[in-house]
Amino acid sequence: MASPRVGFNEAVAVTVIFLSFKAMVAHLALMFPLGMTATWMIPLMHLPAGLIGFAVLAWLLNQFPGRTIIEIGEELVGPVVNTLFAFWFYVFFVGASALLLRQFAEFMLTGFFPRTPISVVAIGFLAGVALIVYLGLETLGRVARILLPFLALGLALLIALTSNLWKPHGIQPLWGPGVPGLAWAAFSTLGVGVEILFLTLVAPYLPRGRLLAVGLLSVLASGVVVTVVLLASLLVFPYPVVREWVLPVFSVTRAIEWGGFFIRMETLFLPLWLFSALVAHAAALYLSVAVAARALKLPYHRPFILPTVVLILAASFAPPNFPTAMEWGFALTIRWSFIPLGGIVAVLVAAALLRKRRPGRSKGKKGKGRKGNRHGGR
Amino acid sequence: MSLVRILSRLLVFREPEEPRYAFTAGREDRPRERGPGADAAGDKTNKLREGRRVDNLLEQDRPLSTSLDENERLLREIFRLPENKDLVLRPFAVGTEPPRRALLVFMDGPTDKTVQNLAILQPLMLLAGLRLERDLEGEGPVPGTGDETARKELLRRLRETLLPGNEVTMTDTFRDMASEVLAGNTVLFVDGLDSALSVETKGWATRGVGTPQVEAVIRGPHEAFTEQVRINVTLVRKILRRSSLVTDFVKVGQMSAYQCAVLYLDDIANPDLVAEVRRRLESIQADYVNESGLLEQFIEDSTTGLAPQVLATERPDRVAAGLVEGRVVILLDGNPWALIVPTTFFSMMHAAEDAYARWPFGSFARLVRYVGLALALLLPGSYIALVTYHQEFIPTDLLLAFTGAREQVPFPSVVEVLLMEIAFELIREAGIRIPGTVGTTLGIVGALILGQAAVAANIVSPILIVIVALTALGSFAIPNYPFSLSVRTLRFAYIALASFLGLFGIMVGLFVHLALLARLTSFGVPYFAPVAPVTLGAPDHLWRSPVWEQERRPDYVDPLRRRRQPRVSRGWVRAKKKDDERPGGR
Repeated sequence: MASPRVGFNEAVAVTVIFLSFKAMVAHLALMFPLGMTATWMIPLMHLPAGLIGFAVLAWLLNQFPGRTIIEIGEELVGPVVNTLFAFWFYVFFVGASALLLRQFAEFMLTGFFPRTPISVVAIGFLAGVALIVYLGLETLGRVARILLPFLALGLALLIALTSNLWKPHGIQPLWGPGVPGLAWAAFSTLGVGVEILFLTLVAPYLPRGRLLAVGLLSVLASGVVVTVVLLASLLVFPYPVVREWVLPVFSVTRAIEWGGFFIRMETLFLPLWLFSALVAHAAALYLSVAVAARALKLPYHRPFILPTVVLILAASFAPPNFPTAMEWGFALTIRWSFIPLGGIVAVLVAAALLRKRRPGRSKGKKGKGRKGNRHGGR
Repeated sequence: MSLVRILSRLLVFREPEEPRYAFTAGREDRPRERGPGADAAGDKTNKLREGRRVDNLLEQDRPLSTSLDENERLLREIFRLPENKDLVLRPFAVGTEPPRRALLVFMDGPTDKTVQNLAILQPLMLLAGLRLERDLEGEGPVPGTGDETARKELLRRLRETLLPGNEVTMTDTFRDMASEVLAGNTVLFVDGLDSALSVETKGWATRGVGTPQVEAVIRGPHEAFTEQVRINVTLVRKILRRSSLVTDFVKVGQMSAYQCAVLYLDDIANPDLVAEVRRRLESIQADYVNESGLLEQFIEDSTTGLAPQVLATERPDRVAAGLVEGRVVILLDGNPWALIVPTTFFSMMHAAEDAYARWPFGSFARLVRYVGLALALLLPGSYIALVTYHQEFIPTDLLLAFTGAREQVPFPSVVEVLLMEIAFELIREAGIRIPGTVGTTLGIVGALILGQAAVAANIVSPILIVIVALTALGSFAIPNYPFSLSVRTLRFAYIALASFLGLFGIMVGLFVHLALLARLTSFGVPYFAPVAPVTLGAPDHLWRSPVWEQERRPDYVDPLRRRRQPRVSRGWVRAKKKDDERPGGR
């Protein structure tokens, strides 16, 4: 089976959409009570941590060119511990996908299809996601690359159309809960960018030497997107109102007034939600199945797609209602994910550093790095 | 017929006679009657055996004999004489002293008789005595008994001094000989020689160079390919006068081998791409590949793909432009369409005229086409989704107009759309098949019945007529016919998705559609190149940049020479500098 080839632009596109998608769904709304009127600053405060964190991750991956974090883990901490790590990765991303799916399906029902059963929306959505993951990473990258300009345009349009509703006092007091409170809010939500781990699974397929650039650019771009979305929400609705919204961005689009002719604009932005959700879920599904395939040393990820999709679908109906799904999603992916996942990465980095310092011990088998390829190398 | 016989036939009952057929398809179970067809089964087996024997004769490259009689006997077997009335065997004597027996073999019809008379029969029968010396060294008294040198010498003299045809080739085997005869050439057998001479006498009836039927332009050349591969190659060479333009011929098809010309610029096209094209063409094992549409299906990367992966064009200028970019062109004999490979999605949306108009207008025309593509693919589905699921998006005034128009219509919107779309497809299909003289009637019937009458009868709403008309206009705006066929078909999938899941269904469908297209490749080149994956090259895909900015050939074709023109191609805009002569200078 030929290895996929993911170019720089495609990798950036998938990662940016994957990282920014959280701005479109519900559980980001739970950040408002933490940051209050200064919530928009939280992603900016995350940026340095995200950039440094990814630089460390890139260093680790560059020590073992041609390998993913799963194979690196096996080399550094042995198969038993690494199996636990891989299992945790798999469970985390399946769980995160399931909770995101539930929120997204609820959002579709609330906003657009009030009379459609939630299972129809969830299954229809997952069918598209499963197909693209079946077609492979290359296809996912290309589709994301094609969609990214349209999504960026849609978001810019959304923000621009709300400009007549902006009220500057919405972000005052500027420091919200105060600097310590804001710092704690930023620290306690550091897990907001764990999706960056996607790059640790696709690193072998990226053009050689571009991993760091892909990661840093993606973190930077997604940080800006999330900041802009939070800022626009706060500018349109005052803090006490916005913290009540389950779907802040959706409420922002509903608030758009553009002449007397166009009065309900949210349908215009449906592609923005849907396409970003499809790409983000496809990336999450790819991550899960790639972890499973790598952990079991299988060259193919396809056999895991259907079981994982079934797991995600089943898990997505575990929360009894939409608010619970939001809370669980916030807790799992934003609030606490940083501890285990950051811990795993810290252990691996520490092991790599120790290994490097021990004399007479090689770095281990180094896989062959790939040169930039013709169709995706730039 | 006499009156009595007529009356007798009318009044007297006769048992009807059952017709007797020697061959009745699908009635193998019926016991065969004794009579003319009694040994039919045996005949069939014999015929099959005979056919295989002759096929073996050709496949095994059986060499020609020195005996003219033996050659003639085998010729009769190969071409099924005397049943076959097309093959002509014209015995004559070469006017030497003593005269030498000879035989002309040709097909009646595809050969030019004037050329035969003037370039073969006349010199051989009347001038041979003047040109051929009587005695050839080493020649025996009986033809065919001479040594190898004498035979070669005679053949050389015949070829060089007596046959003034512009193309005379030597054939040594029955297979080559048969191929020459079938190609419209005349083959000359001379008693005593184990080689034959093939003289070019093709005289097929061909259509002249016409104007493009599908890719018509206002500005630009008005020449289109014709059915003769040689004429088509000439049309390309007329535009592209470059010594490195190579025309390579590959035979395609087993039952009737068609000449397939592979054109490329040797100093620009990637040799690996050329080799791949040749490999795919040579590997085809099919009975009959007479049309570029069939050939396309044999060589495309994915046979289940949702879009064509080969660009078919009838314009020589477009072929020349493709060659200059480093692509490879395939021309099939008997076909007025050239195939350009590799191709991408964006090439499907280009028209020749884009390059001839100034860049803002070329780019605008492309933008209009993309809008047309979106309308053709998504408009009917979006209409259903909006009126069925997302009424809130429609502004109130418009929604009232929609509702008012639909009030009298008894069908749900999906039935309404399907009715009109199917009717429109019927008109379009019938419009292609209908004779030209009544073609205009079809337009009137379509417009009246499907438009005015359907609305008047409250079968469809007037809004839907606008939707269907816009969809049709959009699909006509797609410049590539095979691609527009794909869009026409997929529109119905989007209608189905919209009727089940509204815009959600359309979006998921579009996502899957994009994914399936993104996975396609054309001779290894990704279908969405140079956008996804991003590759270098002149900006000439979604929009067209000024011609002086088209400095690089598309990187995804991986041409041998990447730069098309220097950075400053309009040399007059500044004084000449020292490094201007260098390729890509400054």
